[in-house]
Amino acid sequence: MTRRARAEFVAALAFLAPNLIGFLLFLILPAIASLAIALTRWRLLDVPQFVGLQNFADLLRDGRFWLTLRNTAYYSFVRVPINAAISLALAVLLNRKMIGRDFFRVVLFLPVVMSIVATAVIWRPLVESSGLLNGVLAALGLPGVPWITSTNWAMPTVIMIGIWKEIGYYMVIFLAGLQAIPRTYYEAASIDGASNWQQFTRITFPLVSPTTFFVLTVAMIFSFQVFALTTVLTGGGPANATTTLVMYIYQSGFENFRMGYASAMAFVLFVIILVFTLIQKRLANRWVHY
Amino acid sequence: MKRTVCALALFTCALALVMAGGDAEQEQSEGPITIDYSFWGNPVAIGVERDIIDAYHAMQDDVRVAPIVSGYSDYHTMLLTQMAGGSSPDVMRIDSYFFQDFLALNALRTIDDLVDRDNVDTSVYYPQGITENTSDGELYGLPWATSVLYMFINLDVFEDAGIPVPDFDWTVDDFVEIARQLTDGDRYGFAIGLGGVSSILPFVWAEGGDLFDESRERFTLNEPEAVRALDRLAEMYAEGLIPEDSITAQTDTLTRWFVNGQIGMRMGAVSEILSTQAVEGARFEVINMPTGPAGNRTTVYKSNIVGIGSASQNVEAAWDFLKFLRGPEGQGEELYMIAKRMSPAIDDQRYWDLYADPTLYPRNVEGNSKIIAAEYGRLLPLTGGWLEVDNLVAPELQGIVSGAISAEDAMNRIADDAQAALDRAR
Repeated sequence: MTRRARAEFVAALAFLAPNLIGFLLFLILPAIASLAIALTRWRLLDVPQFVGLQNFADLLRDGRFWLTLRNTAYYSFVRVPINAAISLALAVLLNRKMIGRDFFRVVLFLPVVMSIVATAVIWRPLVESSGLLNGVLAALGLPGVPWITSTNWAMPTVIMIGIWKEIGYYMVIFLAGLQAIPRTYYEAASIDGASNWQQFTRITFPLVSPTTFFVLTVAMIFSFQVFALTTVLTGGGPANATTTLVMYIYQSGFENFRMGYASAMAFVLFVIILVFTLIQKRLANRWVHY
Repeated sequence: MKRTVCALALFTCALALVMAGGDAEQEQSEGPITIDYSFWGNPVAIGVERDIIDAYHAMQDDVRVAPIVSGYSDYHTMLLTQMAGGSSPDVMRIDSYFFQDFLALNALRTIDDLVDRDNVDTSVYYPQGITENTSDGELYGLPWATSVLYMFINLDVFEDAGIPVPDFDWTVDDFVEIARQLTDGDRYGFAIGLGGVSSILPFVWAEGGDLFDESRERFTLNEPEAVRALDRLAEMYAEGLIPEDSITAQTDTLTRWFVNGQIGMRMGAVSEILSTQAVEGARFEVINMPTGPAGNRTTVYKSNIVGIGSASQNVEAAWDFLKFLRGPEGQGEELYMIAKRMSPAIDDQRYWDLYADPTLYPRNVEGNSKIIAAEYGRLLPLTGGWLEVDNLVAPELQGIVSGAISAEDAMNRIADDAQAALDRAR
């Protein structure tokens, strides 16, 4: 390395230092510490005792762990594709010239800036048995739905509200992707007689695929970490139907005082998210066009 | 480029020096001692604490109190992380549900030595409060909010149904019958939050069951008496006497239903008296929970703890503030009473006169509370691992009342895990 290159390297390092130090201190070190804690029995204020892989072995026998993992997977795998599809559809719609386009963009984005707690507090009276949604169904002559009181309906309701909350965020990302597609492609397609659907499937979808990949990846990572919405809206009920893995991690650590066990679960969650992200990245080669 | 790197390095060094210098200055400075005081509360409650701290500051110049506040749901997590991070508060409030677990973590110091030295008369407190602040014969704090989990009676709903307010000796059978008579269309007799075991224990106690055995070392909610009580609640739910949404309803929802006249009866803590009073025109009374064949003491009576952190470096200052905040000679209790934050923890008519306003509902809160405390109240069987057991039981209760699983199967399903939680906490 020449003196000039070395100097540039040092300068680059100096500029990156604040970010790198933060990354190391607040992400890498805690992640390593979490794995170390997962190998201990620790009640937070006492001295951790090394227990090897005992916490991981206990996880395998813990019915609540598997239940919450299943709930989290249900939430993520149902919510993410629907969320992405609706966001893309809305983005395509609101990318066209139409009356009130800016108004609808703002309205759809509003829930994103609303706090999760406020979201849950607003939705709660709407999804009660005698709430607005069942009132609308009754007016249409349809039977009411036990939105959050039935173990079958509670998770779909949470998913519905989760989609409502985040749809604007992903819509804006898709809009940015759509606006990067040159208009000339559509003009040429129109001249060649391509229908709207053909334009969408042959031009829009392939060219927006990097954005779709980003949305699916990020949404999946966030979905696996769902906590606040279920905590405030349903408290994990009824009968644990909406208790997610992160809720159980929180309970185990801060209410049951089992930090080692909670860290073991957190590490498993980290591995699951990592594996799914890698799978998505591998599969992306087949359908994402840069 | 070199100049840039040098400038960055110099800036970093200067920043470090300034920060180090700041610390040194703080250590060397003389003046009042600052202590941290942690508590939970909503904005109204924070105002009360602010008034108390201001009054304490006005009284003396040696100690300053820095409040650390959080909403209840995050509070104990915040406290734990503070302690784990080595910044344990000097004075802290702890909900009695967490008391034994926090003691096991060596979070609090005993105050016996300070109480004896300063001749603080602990006999003035309601004895249940002192009991809940004591472990293995040692006192770890002074009581805060020693009060009852009442049955709230909506007077409008009762009058509309032509039913008088029940007397103290009403039984679970009477309660079910009243709930039946109150239920009409969109109106329900009773609502109960199923987020914790405290809400169902009155019914379990009425049947002769309990959460743990007398030693508090064995889980007993799967025994026949307890199962019978849970089955009874499930029957009420199946009959439509309890709103379907009760399963996941939280406190604010129950309050909304109650003041809207959608329910005739609900269980509620003393803090809900304040939130219900805040609704204009709400007419309600508070009474004891229904009694049963196993006895009259079926109403939950609980307290909380305000103690001194075991890691506190300012024990004398912390004790001085604690005496002001919760001691018999301090002004704290009086200010809490004026704000109607909670009912008195000290058995003194002067505090009841400040708290109970006969022009406000519930008009019999003083008389009823005293009778309940003396004849109908019962302390929870609190022990280490309580919260873990609570986290296991609550979801099963939701399954039971919704008819998804029988009480017997549900309680047997979690019995081993609950027992393991108790064993782990010992």
